[in-house]
Amino acid sequence: MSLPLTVIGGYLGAGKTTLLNQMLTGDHGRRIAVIVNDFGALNVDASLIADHSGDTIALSNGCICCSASDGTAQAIARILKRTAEFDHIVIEASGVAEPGKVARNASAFRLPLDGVIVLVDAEQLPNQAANRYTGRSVIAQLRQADVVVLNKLDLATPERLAETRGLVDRYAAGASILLTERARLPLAALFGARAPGRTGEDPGSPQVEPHHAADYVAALIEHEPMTRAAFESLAREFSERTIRAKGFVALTDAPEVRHLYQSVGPRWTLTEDGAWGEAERRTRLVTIAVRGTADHHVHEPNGMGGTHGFPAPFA
Amino acid sequence: MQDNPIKMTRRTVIKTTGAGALFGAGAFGLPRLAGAQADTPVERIFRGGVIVTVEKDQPIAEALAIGGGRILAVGSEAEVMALATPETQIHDLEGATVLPGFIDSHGHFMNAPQIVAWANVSGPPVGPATSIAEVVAELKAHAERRNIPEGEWVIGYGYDATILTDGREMTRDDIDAVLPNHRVLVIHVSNHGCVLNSLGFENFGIDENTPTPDGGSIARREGSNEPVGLLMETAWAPIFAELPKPTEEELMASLDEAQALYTSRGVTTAQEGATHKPDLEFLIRAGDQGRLKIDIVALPLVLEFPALIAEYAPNFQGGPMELPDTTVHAFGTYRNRLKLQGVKIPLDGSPQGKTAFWTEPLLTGGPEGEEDWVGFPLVPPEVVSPVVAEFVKKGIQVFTHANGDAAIDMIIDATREAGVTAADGRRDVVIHSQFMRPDQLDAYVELGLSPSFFTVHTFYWGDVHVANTGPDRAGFMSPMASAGAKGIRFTNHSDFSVTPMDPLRMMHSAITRLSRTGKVIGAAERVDIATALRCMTIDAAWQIFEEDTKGSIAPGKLADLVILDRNPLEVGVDELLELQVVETFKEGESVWRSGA
Repeated sequence: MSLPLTVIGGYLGAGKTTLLNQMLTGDHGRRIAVIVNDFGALNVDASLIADHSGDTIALSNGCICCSASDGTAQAIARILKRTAEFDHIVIEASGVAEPGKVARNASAFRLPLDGVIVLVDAEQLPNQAANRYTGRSVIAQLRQADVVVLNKLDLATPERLAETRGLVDRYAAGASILLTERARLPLAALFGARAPGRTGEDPGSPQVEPHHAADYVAALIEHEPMTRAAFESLAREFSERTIRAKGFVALTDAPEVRHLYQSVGPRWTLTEDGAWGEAERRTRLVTIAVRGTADHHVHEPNGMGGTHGFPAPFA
Repeated sequence: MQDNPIKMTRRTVIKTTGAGALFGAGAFGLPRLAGAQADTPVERIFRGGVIVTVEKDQPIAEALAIGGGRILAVGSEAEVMALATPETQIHDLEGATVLPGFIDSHGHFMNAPQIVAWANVSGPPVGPATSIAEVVAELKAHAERRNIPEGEWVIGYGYDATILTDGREMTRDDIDAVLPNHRVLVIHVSNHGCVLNSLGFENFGIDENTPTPDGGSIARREGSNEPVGLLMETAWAPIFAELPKPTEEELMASLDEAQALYTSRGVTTAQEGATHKPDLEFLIRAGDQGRLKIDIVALPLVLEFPALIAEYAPNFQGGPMELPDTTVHAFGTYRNRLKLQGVKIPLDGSPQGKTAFWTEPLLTGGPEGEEDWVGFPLVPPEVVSPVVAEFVKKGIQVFTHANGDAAIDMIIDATREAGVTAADGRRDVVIHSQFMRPDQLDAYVELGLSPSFFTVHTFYWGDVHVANTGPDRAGFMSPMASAGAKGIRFTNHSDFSVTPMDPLRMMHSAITRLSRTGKVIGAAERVDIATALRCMTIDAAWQIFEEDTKGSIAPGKLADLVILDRNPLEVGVDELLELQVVETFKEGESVWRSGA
């Protein structure tokens, strides 16, 4: 069985490392093998490192981080020797690399491409795109994106943001666009961008249907155990306002049972998914909505059922 | 840092200055080594030929005395022979010519121990093969020479169907016919593909059910889906990743052969010009075991510094790309024939691969047919400036890899931002400096940047460069004459194993700039033989701060010597490529001899 592949690109300072750090250390239940150019930039909390030997750092959550010091292909080959231990491969393309080519080269390993995610510094993109050294690389990155993450929104003035949006709309037409600060995005918003037919096994990965030049707003909903009626009411609301939602639900009438909730457009299901075990009994859902159709705001998360507009990543 | 193995201890070297040599000359009426070594016994005198000293004041001499690994005297036969003692070995050159041992100002020595374990199936002048029959014959001969057991890998390199007489690609059948029971993999000359035999395909599980990956190709047998031999690009990448890696023991076993690639061509100082930490550890071990016969100048890659610091300066508390103040002490001195000289910062790729970084688009598009293609930098410019500034601040010489003019702009900008001027005497090297613009030479003068040019490109890829960049840009590649006119000191290199270790062809290319098809690539940038020779001797020594001990034949310098059967300054340029190395000496010891 081969692992779905995500390539993360974006120019220097766009937030790739922050995002990768969150992926590697988040409590998201997904075992991700990340290939980075070098460990130097990553600053993984030492307490989360289970083992560090040579080219590989193993994290206590089942993720690993491999350095591509001897080549990305070699790193992929090393990971594929342990395919069963992972759920997903993420390759970090260097700041000036074309992530589409990285994905293409990796396709030689017959990995299904889950998507090319390109992070963008919302404040800096116009300067970078005009830079004589790097402008072409930055624009090529946008052209190859399945998902564009407009990061560091808090740092951009409205005028600058409009300029950035203009570039993204021009060069990444057709890509899904996610907006955030400090690269905070749930895994659910990042994975599955390209594979509409794929149904993930775990609740961390609803798919984002490609949507022409739309903004997607991802939100993490957390809630104490609630009654079945309360949840159904919430789910109906999601059906109207989100294109995708997924997660575990804690119900007061069955406290030991973990329920898996999945919602695509108007349809949703709630199924029993075993016991909670050691896990905290708490509803945690990720929703993806088209911007403007939901009540989520980037700067002012509202209080829908305990929503955090931009929650701690992968919490 | 006392136990720091990369902190080289200073070799016991008594530096002889020009003044010292003059002082010593009084006793014998000719330059004679001064001071404590004046009593060094004369072990060997070379006579009966020509000594090309590469010294301005005494370019040609009749005889040469060496002892204690150093040059003791250079002069007329009578003057030098007067130094002979009964113990002195008189070496009759029989008309041959002694030159300073060649210094390759940039190459990748650590490719050598690997490459000698592979069969060279390149076409002339790199290798022997002109037909598929000769390729497979060389594969078989290689397997026999190295006693490779059946079932093991036979790996060849340099395969290029376009120069073979057959007019088709080699197939698995061609190889199976001679090596059916070995696994065989022949790497394409581009390093972007390979041909496998049947056991090779079986090893990688590639068969008629293997789909052709995006961006790659798998040649199939006519009328079937069976892979027939050649795999290129993305189809090759997974194979490359799985290629059996030589163990350290295997590399160590190949070390003599690897060094013979250099010594057989008269090269006594090699460069390991992109050193990873394991390479460095290998070379330190080789040095400690006394296995290095020639000097190796290592340039650790910039990205390796965090790992090197973590190991060798574990208490250092600085940021990710900061250096301990003591770092400089690890550089610039040999220990067991190995020294670190500076940091290697790669900024772009190769012009023939269209991965260099130019300011103007190529005329032929990108490697995948992209329009408006200028290549790309390997790192963002804003990363380069602080890194260069830190190495400048800590007193470490910077060696940048820059082929295209945009990459060259990047290092010019970063060097200028670091506040460097020519007066600092740093001799920071821009390796390749191939596709320069004329204005960049002025920046080199201002900043004291020294180019290590790569003129042999005019031969191997000159025609390709004219097609890609037009005659003007191609004609100005490795602009030796223009650099010289501005007083810039420059060198010439092999980039081994990108091109073979062949100093005579390197010099020939600097003089003629002739392409494979016989076109002159930039007639105005041709230089004379004396300049071409300085590029590989005294100026190459200067570039690595060794002009006091190497690069010319003068009293007090190391007895690093090459004997050629004829004098390159006298033969016609066409004959230059025919010259033969008779013997090579490293610090007075014979390290290679023709027919030995």
